[in-house]
Amino acid sequence: MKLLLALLLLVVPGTAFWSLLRGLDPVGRLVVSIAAAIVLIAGTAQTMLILGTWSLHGGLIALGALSALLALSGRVHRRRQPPPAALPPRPVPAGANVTRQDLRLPHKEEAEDDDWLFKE
Amino acid sequence: MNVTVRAAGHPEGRSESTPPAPRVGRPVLFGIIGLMTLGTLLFWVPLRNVDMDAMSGHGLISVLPVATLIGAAALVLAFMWTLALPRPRVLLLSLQILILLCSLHGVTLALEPIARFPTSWQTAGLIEYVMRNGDVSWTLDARFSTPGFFAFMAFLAKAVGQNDLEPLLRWAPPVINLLYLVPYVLILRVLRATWRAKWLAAFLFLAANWVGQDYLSPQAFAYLLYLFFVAILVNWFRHHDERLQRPGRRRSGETRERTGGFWRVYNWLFSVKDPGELPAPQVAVRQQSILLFLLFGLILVGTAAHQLTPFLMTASCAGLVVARRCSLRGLPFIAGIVYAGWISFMTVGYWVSRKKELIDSIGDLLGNLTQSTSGRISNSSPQIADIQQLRILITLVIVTLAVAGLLRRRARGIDDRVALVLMLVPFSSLGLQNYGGEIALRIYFFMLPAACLLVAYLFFPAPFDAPAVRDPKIRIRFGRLRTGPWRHVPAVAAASLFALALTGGFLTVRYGNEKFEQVRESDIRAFETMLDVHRGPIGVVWLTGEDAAATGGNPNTMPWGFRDWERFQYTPVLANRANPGDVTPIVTAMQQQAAGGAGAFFITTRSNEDAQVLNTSLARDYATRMRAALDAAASQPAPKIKKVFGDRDAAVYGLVQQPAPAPVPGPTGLGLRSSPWTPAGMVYLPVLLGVLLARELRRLRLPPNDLRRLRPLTVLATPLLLSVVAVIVERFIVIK
Repeated sequence: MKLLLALLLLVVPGTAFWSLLRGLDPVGRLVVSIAAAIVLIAGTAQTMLILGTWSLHGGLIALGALSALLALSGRVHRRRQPPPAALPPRPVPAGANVTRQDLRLPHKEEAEDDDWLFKE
Repeated sequence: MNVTVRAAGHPEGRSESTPPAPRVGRPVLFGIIGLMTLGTLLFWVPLRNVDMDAMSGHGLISVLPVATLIGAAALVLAFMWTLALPRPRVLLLSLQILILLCSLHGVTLALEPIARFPTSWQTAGLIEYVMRNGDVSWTLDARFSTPGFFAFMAFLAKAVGQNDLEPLLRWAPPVINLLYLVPYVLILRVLRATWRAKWLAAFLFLAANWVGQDYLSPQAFAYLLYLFFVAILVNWFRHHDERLQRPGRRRSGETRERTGGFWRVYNWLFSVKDPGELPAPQVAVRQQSILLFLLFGLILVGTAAHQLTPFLMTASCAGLVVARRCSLRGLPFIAGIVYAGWISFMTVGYWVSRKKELIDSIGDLLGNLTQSTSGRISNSSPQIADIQQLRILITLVIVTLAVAGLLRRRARGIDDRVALVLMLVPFSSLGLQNYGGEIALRIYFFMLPAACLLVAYLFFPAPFDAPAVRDPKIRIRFGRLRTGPWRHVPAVAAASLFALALTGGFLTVRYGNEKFEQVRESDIRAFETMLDVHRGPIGVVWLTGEDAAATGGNPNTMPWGFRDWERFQYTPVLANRANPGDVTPIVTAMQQQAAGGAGAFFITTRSNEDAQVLNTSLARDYATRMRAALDAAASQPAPKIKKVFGDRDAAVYGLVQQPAPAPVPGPTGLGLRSSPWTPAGMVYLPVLLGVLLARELRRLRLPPNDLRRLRPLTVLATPLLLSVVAVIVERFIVIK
């Protein structure tokens, strides 16, 4: 029971952060959300301790508000921008099987032009 | 180079160009699962009948049943067998890693009724202090200057209503090691290596981690944050330099003529290589910005949680930047400023009294090294020395094999820069920390993620699964073992031998000091009794065989201070080697405590007695004779002391005439101090961090060749940085 409660405490900020990161792959997104949940809870607790305003309920409320804010900003962003139709497939789909012979190595001058435009 | 590459590692039907991997027969899978089950049973079932009292100075290994060791070997071999299969069985491998993790790091759960390792009980005491007071007290313990972890745990425990911290302590090692694997997966997946190398690295990361820093502690938490930090950096902020690389001067006509031994070695080391990492995944700038904020959060939380880890975060990030594997070039500055700011503003209480000592210790490289290696071996029993030497041996073997693995990959034309940086970075902490003997341990601990990977590369250096088919016309030596379905077996066999040896070594050295690192229920009850008998501060007298200045006067073999931390104070009393029956020094020390207004108690526990025998070569029967003498003194007519608590494992004696309970001082907070320039610093520091963060956000949005446009922010940040540095220096000089 207590374990479930603790998990719930971690899941709430984790899920909020999860909703922010739509472009990431599932595994990366999950790991990052776990990290974010830990950071949010620990950060809240530390801030309360340093400011001398330690209170359990205050902390829980702050955490909930923070999570709601994150989830809201993710939602607002999603509504403003329809989801991109998945990122363009990577030029090298074979993943691990790439060596420098297989990679197209653009010259520095080539890479300069407008590669970056497509980043977002 | 017109080899048609055939990946054996993809499941069926993933893509048309990759033919299906050879099928694995059911019998093989059943064999693996059977071996795994057998290993698990053999490991755990005999643990019920272990006699912990028979333990020798070699620790747990001296009482572990042979069946358990065979079980461990079976588990390792089942894992290795799975690695020899033609394609990864992810579910099976994960399950095996999980079982190995529980077996290696949780073996004491079945043997000891309560959580092991006295230091972890002290962490519990610090957490309990925060839970009870909602505040810290810098005067009580240096660990309170970085209270982040205690605040985190206290908040969690309080929120779920878990007031008894013992279960947390007990389950912490396996859970924390499991958590370490989460970011480690993220690090592993960006590497250009076969699945065999990656899974072996994950196993080695468990089995080589004998350091024992994975109990419930700030450093374990901060290490987790460090792994997350590095994982995010190498996943989403890797430099795209590998795309821009081109054969330059090194491939010109001139270099082609360079032949001969020297140039062969030169080319082996420095010629054009494939990067050891896969091309970085493309993510949108928005995602990167969010991740940048998360990195900043990790830095902040890590800095507030532990005093050494943020330095390593800064250094690893700087190392990746220098090696051109990290695009956030300003992040090391941010991390460094946060670190320096925290030390200057928040840990005043710690450094103000140790100014001279700190200055002296900086740069004392040689002293640190000799202290951490040889200093730990001296004047202890041969059994303890055996364990220490085995620890050093394992460390040296891991480092040597890691270097060999690195060279083997280089010989294959792969440049493992990320792994190299992560392995070298921890050495930078050698001269900087006032950590004394422990720093070598920490360096090994932080080296481990990269070192395990490089060791795995030694056995499986291929960047991808080798083609399954070769030209049959070309005859190669030992062709049957090097081609066809058996081609992985030699490497797996070699890796198995190493894994078996390492697992044996792990079980030996990880629990090598178990004789005095276990905590018995009586120890806890002894301290509880003191708290119950006397209200008010308590002066604890304990026995030591040598000068106890090294431990700061605290009995580090007892679970002291796990509750009501502020009520305890400790005085060691030196053992009278000539006459164990001489209780006068003990009574004198107790009377001194009582004169100071504290309830005086003498405590002796079996862990402490064993530790004194093993570490300071006190006579074996010293404790028995001393206890007999104390009992005799307590049963005299008109005794000065009385027995408050006593059983086989622990005994507590108190003065008959205790002073009246004195009030206990309340929490004193973080002990922040101000200086004339401090208010300015409090403004400059957040502004500087904001400007630097804005600079990094801008950098993410700029094309790679247009970094000139960062200059306005750089110009803005420079005077701010100088001001903050000035404030920090001023604080260091002014505050006395």
